[in-house]
Amino acid sequence: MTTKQISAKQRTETVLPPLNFLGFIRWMWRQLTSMNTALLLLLFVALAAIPGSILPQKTASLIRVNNWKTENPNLANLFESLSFFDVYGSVWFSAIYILLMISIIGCVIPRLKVYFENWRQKPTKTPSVITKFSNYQKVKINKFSLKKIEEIAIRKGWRTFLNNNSLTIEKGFSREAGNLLFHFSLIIITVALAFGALFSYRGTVVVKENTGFSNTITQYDDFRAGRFFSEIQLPNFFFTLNDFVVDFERSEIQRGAPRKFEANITLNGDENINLYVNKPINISGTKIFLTGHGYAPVITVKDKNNQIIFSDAVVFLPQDGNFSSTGVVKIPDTNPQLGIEARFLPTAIVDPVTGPTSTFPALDNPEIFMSLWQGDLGVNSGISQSIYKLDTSKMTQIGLEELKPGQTWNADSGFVISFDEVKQFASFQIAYEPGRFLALVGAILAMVGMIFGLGVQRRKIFIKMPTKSSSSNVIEIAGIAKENHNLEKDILKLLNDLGFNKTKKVSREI
Amino acid sequence: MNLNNLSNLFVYFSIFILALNLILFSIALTQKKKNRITNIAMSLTWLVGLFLVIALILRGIAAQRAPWGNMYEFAISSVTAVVLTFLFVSIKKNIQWLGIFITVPAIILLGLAVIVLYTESGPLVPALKSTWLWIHVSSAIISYGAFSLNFGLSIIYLLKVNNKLKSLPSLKRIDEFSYKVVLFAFPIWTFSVISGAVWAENAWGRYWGWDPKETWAFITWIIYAAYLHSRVTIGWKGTKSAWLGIAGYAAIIFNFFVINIWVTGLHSYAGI
Ligand code: HEM
Repeated sequence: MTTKQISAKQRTETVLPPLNFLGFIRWMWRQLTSMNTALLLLLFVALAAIPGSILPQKTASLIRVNNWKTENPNLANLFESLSFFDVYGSVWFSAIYILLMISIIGCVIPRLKVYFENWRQKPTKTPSVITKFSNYQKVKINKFSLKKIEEIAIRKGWRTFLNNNSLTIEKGFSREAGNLLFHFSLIIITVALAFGALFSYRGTVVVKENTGFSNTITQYDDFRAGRFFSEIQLPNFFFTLNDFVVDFERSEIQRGAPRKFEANITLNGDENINLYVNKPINISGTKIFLTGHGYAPVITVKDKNNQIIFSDAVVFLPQDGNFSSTGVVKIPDTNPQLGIEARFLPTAIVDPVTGPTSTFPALDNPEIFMSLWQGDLGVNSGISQSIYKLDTSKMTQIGLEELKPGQTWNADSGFVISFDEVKQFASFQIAYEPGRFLALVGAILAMVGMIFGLGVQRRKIFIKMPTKSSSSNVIEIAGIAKENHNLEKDILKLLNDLGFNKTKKVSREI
Repeated sequence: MNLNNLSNLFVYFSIFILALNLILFSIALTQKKKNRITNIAMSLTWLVGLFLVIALILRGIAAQRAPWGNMYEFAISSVTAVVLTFLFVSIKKNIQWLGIFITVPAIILLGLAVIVLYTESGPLVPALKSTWLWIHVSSAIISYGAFSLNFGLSIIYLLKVNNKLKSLPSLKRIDEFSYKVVLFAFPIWTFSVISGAVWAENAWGRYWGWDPKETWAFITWIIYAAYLHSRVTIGWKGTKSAWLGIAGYAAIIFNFFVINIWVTGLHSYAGI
C-alpha cells in the first residue's frame, strides 16, 4: 500500500472541497491573494519590531533615550520624527498591526461561513472510479453490508456519506476549526492588549526602612497610566517597610550575587507581610512587587549654632553590582544654600589606581565620601530637578571628607555633619494590568486551536462494493489526504475493524 | 575533582568527538547510501548525546537546580536538545545524512559556550528562582532543538536546489521533513512565549513590555508563523520556505548571543 503519490488535483480536492467549478476558482483566488498579503504583513511586522529592540525606548527608560540622543545628535531628530524611540506605540507600527488584524478578520469570517456550510453538508459523493488512486486496493473482509460498514465508521468518529453501492467517510474537521479558533484568539489577545494600554497603570516608589507609602499619585516616584485611566481607579491602601533583609553570595563562585531578598511590610496598619521577588501581593487587582533595593545612610547636618538643619535617611542609588552608590542632600533653607554630593561604599577599599571602590555589596566596611557645596542649588529656577543629582554649576566646594558610621565631621563655616547609621531602602513596582486575564484566555485558546490546526489532517476514504452487490466480503478501498498524513494507518485501522486479515488480501490491481 | 570540572570534562569530550564526526560525516556525504562510516559516526553521536546529558546532570547536581540558570548552561542544554532530537528521530527515520548539519552548529555552539560564556555553576539570583524558569526555559530549549533541525534541513534544501548533491534524499522529502519539524516545534515555542509572559506578569507586573528579549521572541514567533503560512501560499513553498526557516533561526541566534550580551534589558542572567 502506498499513499505517497497522489496527483495534484486530488490533493487540492481534499484541502478545498469545491462546490462548483467557478465557485471553487473564485474562492481559491480570494484565498490565494489574501494569504499572500497575510504573509507579507507578517514579515513586515517582524521587520518593524526590530528598531525598537536595538534603540532605547521611552517606555523603558527616558534617560537612556536622552543619553542616546546626546551621543548621536545627527540622527536624533530623524529618529524622533520616525518614532524610533517609541516604536511599539508609533503610528506606523500600529498601522501594520491593524492591517494584519483586518486581514485576519477578512480571512476568518468567510472561512467560518464555508466551514459551517461544509459542516452541514455531507461529504462528497464517492468518485465513480477509484482504481486510479495509488493506495487503491481490493480486500477481503467479513461479510458486511455498506450500511453496516457505515455504522462501524460512525462509531469510530468518521463522518459518512452513503451511496447506492459506495461509501465516503471523512475525518479531520477539527483541523479547520482549530485553525479558525487560533486566528480568532489572536484577535482576542489584541483586544486584551489594547484594553490594557488604555486602562492600566504602573508606578514605582522607593521606600526607606521605617517609612511608608500610601497609594496616591503624588506619592509615586514615577507613574504611568493608560489614556482612559482615572485616579479613582487607585485602590486605597498604605504600607510601611519595617525591615529589609538581603543576603549575598560569599563564596568565590558568583561572589556578591544576591541570594535572597525580602521586605517585611505592614499593610494598612495591621497586616504583616513578607514580600519576595517574583511573589507580588494582590490588592483588588493591583499588584505590589518588590523590584530592588539599596542603602540609605542617615545623615545629620547642624549649623554653627548647633541647630539641626537636616537629619534623614538619604536614598543612595546603586551604581554597580557591589553597590557603590551615589546620593545627594539638598538644604535650600540656609543662606547661601547647602548641598552634599556623596558616594557610599558598603565594603570600601581605597584602590591606589581607581580610588575608593566597593568590593562587596554587603555592609562589611561601610564608608561615605562626601563633598560639601555652598551656593545656589537651582531649586527655585522652575526647572524640575532630579532629587538624585546636585547641580553644582552655581556652587562652590567648601570641603571633602570620608566618614564611617558614627563619625562626625566639623566642616567649613561651622557646619557639623555626621554619618549616624545605614538603613536600607526597597523599591516597589505597583501595577494594574486589566487586560491580563483576557490575554491569558486568548493565549490558551490560541494554543488549543493551534494544536488542532497543526496536528490534525483532513482525510477521506472511499469504499466500494463489487458491482451491484449491497453486501459482500470483498470491498474496494482508497483514500486521499495531505502528504504529511499517514493515511495507510487509517485505512488499516478501519479494515481491522471490518475483520480484515492480511493473509486474506485478494489482489492489488493497477 | 569537583562536579563542575567533571562536567566540563564531559563537554570537552563531546567537542572532541564532534570534531571527529565532522570528518566522518563529511566523508560519508561523498559515499553511496548507507555505509560503515555513517554507522560509526552515528554511534559516536549517541556517545555525544550521553556525555552531554551527563555533563548537564553533573552541573545540575553541583548547583542543586535545573541546569539552565545562565547562558553557558542554556547553550549546553540547547545543543543537547539538538543532538537528542536528531538521535531520537534517527531511530525511526533514515536521517543520517543530516549528521553534518547537526555537527557543525553543535561544535560552534559548544565552542562559544566554553570559550565565551563559561561560568562556574552556582545558585540562582532571586529573580530567577521560580518554577516558571523551569517551565519557560525548558520549553524554549526543546523548541530550539527542533528549530535547529529545521535550520539544517533548510540549508540542505537550498544546497540541493542549487546543485544536485547525490547522496541526499529528494527535495520533496527534505521539504516535508523540515515542515514536520516546525509542526512540532512551533506549538512548544508558542507555549514558551506564553509561559514567559505569565512569568513576567508575576515578576514585573506586566505580561508584555517589549523588552528586547521579548521583542526577539516575538519576531522569531512571527517568522515561523510566516513559515507555516508559506506552506499553503502559492509561490512560497520550497525555496522561500527554506529561507524563512533560516531567517527564523537567525532570529533565535541573534536573541541568544547579541541581545543577551550587548543589549541591556530586564532579562539578565547571572554571570554573563
Ligand atoms: C497575526 C496574523 C497571523 C498569524 C500570527 C497567523 C499564524 C498562523 C499559524 C501559527 C498557523 C498555523 C496554525 C494553525 O493552523 O492553527 C496559521 C495557519 C493558517 N493561517 Fe494564519 N496567521 C495570521 C493571519 C492570517 C490571515 C490574515 C490569514 C488569511 C488570509 C491566515 C490564513 C491561514 C490559513 C489558511 C492557515 C492554514 C494553514 C494550514 O492549513 O496549514 N492567517 N496561521
